[in-house]
Amino acid sequence: MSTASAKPLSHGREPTRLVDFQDVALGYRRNVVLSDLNFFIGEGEFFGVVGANGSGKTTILRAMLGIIEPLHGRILFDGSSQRMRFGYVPQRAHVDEMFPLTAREIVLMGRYGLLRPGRRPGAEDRRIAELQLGHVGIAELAGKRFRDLSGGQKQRTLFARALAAEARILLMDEPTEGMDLEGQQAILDLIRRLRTGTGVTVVYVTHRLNELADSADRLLLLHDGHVRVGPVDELLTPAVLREMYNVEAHVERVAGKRVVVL
Amino acid sequence: MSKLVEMFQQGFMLNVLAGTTIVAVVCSWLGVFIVLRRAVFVGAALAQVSSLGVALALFVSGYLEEAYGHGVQLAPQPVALVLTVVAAVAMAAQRREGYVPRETLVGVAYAAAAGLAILVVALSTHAESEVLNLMFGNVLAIDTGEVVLLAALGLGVGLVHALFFKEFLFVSFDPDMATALGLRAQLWNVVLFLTIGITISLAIRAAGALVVFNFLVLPAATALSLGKSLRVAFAGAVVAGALSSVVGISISYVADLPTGPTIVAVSSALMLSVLLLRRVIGAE
Repeated sequence: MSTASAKPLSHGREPTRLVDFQDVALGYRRNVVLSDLNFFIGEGEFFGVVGANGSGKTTILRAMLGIIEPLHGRILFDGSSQRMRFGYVPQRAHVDEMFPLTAREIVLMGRYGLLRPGRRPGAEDRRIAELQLGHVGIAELAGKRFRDLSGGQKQRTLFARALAAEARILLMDEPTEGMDLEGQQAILDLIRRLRTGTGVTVVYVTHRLNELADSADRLLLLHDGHVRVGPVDELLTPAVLREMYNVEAHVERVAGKRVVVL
Repeated sequence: MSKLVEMFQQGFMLNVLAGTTIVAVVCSWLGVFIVLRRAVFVGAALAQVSSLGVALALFVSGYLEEAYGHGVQLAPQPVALVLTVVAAVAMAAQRREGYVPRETLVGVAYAAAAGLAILVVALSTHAESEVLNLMFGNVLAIDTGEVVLLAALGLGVGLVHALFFKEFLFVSFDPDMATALGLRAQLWNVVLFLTIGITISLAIRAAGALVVFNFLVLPAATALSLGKSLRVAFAGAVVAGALSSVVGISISYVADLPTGPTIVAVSSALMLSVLLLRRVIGAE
């Protein structure tokens, strides 16, 4: 039904495979959504997953998080079948604002995975939560209710929560959805800063190819059950875009940044 | 006033006050989870399932008595408890939606359990009023034994929630993130709904379906309407629940009104006052 190719990074030695999909088929009940998935996410990479709504990108994300099990094949985490902790940034719209929680309380939840059942977050957990709120630039909003924050501030809160988990890998689901250009840029700048500061691995899921055209190391493109994985240089070419999407596209540099132009 | 003093001198009224207030406190606490998770209908459906359990047990007891003579019975409470817990665990499971919304399936359970319970009562050899009393409870019938049982329930639920509040909150608020961080979201959901199922089943036997449903929804809604913190939501719900219980029972005793509906009226009045107050103060 679909094909996917796993290619190592084009430069340097092959990195540690933090997440490794081996012959994976995904779906719900008996409906296969994606099959023959073979790709890995290397340590320290900025890995983009790009596809339209309904293309299966959320399904891949749910499989990584362990919310659904593969119908076939296996997913290894740093070489083992033992699940890994993810710093997960959900779509803002999926966060239930009915809960009367402050930004600080939500960020503190990022620490819960490190605490045994029955244990409460301690002073060190609180310190790290405050630190991460500062890291994303909203330390002064810690005591505000989540629902009273702006879209960008909410996104930053969810970022801080993912960071508080101190996971080796951050998984972001459409983090700039519903934001204006300025907000989008601010979020991408934030990710860039985090990566240079910590070297954390980032998996970024979006339906907008251009959002990642200049910032990702490698991409996974999803379209109509077809899957292509590779470095941005190799995938963002007129030939590949024609083959994947059946469109005539150019890849140009505008103000030093790579963009796909139709 | 003298009638109020008289109430506190009556042993049976003290049992009624104690029993109902324990039910109020436990249900109001759980109610915050139920309201935030948009599972109000689950509370109503579980109440019906519990009643069905009582009806089924009495029905089977009728047959046993006919076949083996008096004294051979199936205790209604354990049957109701088991049935409610099974239903609660089934409703806790977060599965992908099929062709009908999950909420609708809860509605199906509600209607089916309610209808079936009445049918079973009609077929039962027990006196109908006795059956209805067992099914829907009556706060005025709470005795010392019942108060002890309810206190044990309160302690048990309180202990589980004191230990695992963080897990219950996390899987209610964001099950996906909880899973991503390695928490067993499904398991914690089941444990939370176990406490809800057991509470509903035991509380209905004591206070009746209407009063229990009232305590599961109104105090939490009142406290959440204050729009403050999570702490205020839980503490406010417990206070609102306990207040409705004590004030409701007192008014019903003094004015000679049916107790359950009076409690519901006080809960509603409390909710209405909070909403009006918010409007007057002009809170956002």
